[in-house]
Amino acid sequence: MCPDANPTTKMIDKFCITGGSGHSAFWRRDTSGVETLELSKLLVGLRKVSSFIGRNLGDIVWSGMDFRYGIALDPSLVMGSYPVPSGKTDIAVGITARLSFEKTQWSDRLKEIAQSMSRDYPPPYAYKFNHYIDLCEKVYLDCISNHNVMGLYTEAARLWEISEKANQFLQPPTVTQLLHIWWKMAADIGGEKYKEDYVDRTVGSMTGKVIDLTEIYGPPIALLNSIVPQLISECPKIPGVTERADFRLTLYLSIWPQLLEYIKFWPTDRSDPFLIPESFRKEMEKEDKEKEAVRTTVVSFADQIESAIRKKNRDFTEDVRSNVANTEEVVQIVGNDIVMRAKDKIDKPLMHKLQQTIRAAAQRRTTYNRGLTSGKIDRRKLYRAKTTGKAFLMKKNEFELPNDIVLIVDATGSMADPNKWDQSQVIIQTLFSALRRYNKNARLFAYNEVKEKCRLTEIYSSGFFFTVLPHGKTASGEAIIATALKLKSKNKRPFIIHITDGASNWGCGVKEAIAFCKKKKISLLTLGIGCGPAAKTSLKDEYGKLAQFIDHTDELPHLFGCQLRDSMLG
Amino acid sequence: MPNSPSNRSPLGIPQTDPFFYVTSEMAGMIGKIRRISERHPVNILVTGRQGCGKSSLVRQYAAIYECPLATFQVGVLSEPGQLFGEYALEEGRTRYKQFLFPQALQTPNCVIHLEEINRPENPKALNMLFSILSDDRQVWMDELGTLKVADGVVFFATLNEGDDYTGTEMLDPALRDRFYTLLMDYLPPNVEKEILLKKSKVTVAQADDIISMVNQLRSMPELSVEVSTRTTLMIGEMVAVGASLHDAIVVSLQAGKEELESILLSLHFEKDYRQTGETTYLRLTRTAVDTEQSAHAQQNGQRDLKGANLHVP
Repeated sequence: MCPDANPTTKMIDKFCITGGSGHSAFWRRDTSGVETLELSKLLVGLRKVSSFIGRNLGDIVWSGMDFRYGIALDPSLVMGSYPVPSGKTDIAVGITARLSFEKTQWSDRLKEIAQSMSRDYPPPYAYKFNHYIDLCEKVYLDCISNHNVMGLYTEAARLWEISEKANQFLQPPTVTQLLHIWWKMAADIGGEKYKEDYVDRTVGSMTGKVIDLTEIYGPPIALLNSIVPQLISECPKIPGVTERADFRLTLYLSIWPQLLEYIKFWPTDRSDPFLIPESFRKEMEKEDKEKEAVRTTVVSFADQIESAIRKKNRDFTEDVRSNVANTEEVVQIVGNDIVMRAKDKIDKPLMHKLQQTIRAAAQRRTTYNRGLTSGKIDRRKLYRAKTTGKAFLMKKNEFELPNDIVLIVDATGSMADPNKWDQSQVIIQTLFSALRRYNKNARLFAYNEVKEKCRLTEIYSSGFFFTVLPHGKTASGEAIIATALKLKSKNKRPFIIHITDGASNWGCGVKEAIAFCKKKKISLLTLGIGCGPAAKTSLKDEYGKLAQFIDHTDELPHLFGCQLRDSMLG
Repeated sequence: MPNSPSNRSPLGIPQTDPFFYVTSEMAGMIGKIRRISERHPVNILVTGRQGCGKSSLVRQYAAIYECPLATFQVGVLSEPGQLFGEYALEEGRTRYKQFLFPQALQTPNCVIHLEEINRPENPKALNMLFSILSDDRQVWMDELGTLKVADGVVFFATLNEGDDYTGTEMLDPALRDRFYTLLMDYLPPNVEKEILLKKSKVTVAQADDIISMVNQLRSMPELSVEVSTRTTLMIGEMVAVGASLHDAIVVSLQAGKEELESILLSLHFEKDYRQTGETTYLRLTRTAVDTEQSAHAQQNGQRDLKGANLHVP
């Protein structure tokens, strides 16, 4: 920050955050002055930006954080001052956008094919060829981003990368400098610069001699610019992604032989393995070490960044395993936050009855506001009548359940029948709404199975109900234990209500969950809804007295009330 | 003395809002309610989403028929009888202090507005309303005796009900049964624009921008943001005093930081709204505020606080 002090008063009137203005100032609101929090918030913002580009991009993380598939961003650009200034954020967004477009346009596939072709070339030419393909793709990706506001960010990223790279240019003419000059022209957001002839506007050179590069770079740049119209206009019109990639590769290859004639004797860059002098090699090693240091810094608080972002998507598997006897049967269980908004299915008459039932089981807590000048007469403060006159009180009754209730709903394949799922949604939303009236800490979860993982999803947040797709096998044991592990220790006595339509058929089994809940003094109740006779028998075998069955929603208030009273008395 | 506090009635007649719009059907219904109220007291329940004009409808009814209006917050009631009065100490003696409600009940043609009737702290607090709202139209209280509802009194009850109020305490069916129900909803864009122009004094171009942006926000249900007519007017007033549309939205939408970020991202990437800026921190003094205000006005080509036209780029 650059403080601006008033010379007369010697007070600082203004703090500016260095880093320049940027377009991201429009939308960036969730910021922090703390390094780990700010990096995690910025990462969340970058993930939101990438969601406007496409799906299946994988995880977007800072380099050094764990991920299997996705995009790893270099955090060194944004580290330093916090909140990250808009100018730097713009560059980070631009880099994220381009890497996201790489995924959606299958640039990796194109580069793989190009690399396999380059094996036939002599090594110096192969290096140049791969460099050329890489830059061509950057030009294409920046051009497609220019169709909307994303182009502002890729422009910021492009200009930054070019200026960073310019510090490392060798004595011109070089292939790298040529390609970067072309990149700047071809991907310009105005979309017209590539039509102009190249004119060298640099002043001086490293050796002090004035070299006019117009004649040297002009012809190859004109050649490169000849493919730009097709990149901007024709390629995006092709419907298939593989066809688009093939089109681009053909286009790049069409001018390569002619381009090679211009550049075959030019050096590329400092990383060119055939041209590196010792001094450059040492500088590069030093730079790599600095980058590694930054990466190490990020790795050291990667966990903090992760936990700041992903509060829900924990992997509970090891925790569950350490709390059961039957460890071999434990299946993987993870948190999930991919949800859809649920329609309002609350049955209001049923909710009214449930509220009355729950209120009857709730504990009344009376709070008194004493020492008032009007209200109800407070017999304990009548002595004040002659002095301050504050001899009145206001009484307020609040009804609260003595337990913190958690509902966990079976959303596995057996519930996939639309009528069944609809009915269960009615019961869940109605019951939860009634419970929430008397227990502010009530939470609602659903569990299902996707790709051999049991997923636990919180489906109520900030006043809205969400839903998941019923799918997969039923790992009730793991789900109940993971839910119990999510409960905060300062809770009142927890009470888990498990709503299901059938017995567990996967994982460690419900007996482990019952034992775990008993150990942790968590009350567990299972409500079977829409169960057939066989399912009822299985549930009775699994849960014993802890299972109750509801065949019709009208039975719910009475049944639930009895269970609530019994469990609270017990 | 005619103007002494004890002689002045606390029940006032509100002023007519010249820019209050309802559907023709609603207007017809208002007339019919008036005619019924001339025969006996009427109960009307006005429901709708927040900021759609429920309380404004009640005020406008009282204004056009020149009736006194009394508004009571039912949401704060925690005990039966709390609407009517409470005990207080005067000159060393306890005395029952009557509130405005009994007076309003006994004022002919009074419009009594019960706000958020579905949210009392204690449901029993509404018990005494049952006999007042039923055909009895009277209630007995030890402290006040029999209270009869005067002729022509209309009870308007308002509550928020909609998709987003799934957790709201449901109105007791026995109570709800005593009301006619009027459903209110948001206004169409052209009507909203007219209200915006007249009430917040924005220009036509600004009103178009605001309505366009508000409709875009409403068309994005995944953002879970309610932009009511009230919010639209708030945005308009901000813009009218020189704020940019972006700044007006940021302060007018009731959303947390993360949600606001998602909303602005959608407007930025899907609808191409843009604004560059950089973050600075200023020492908050009058001079700093005036300087920023002038800078914003210069940017937006608007009048500054003192009314002088600044350079329009």
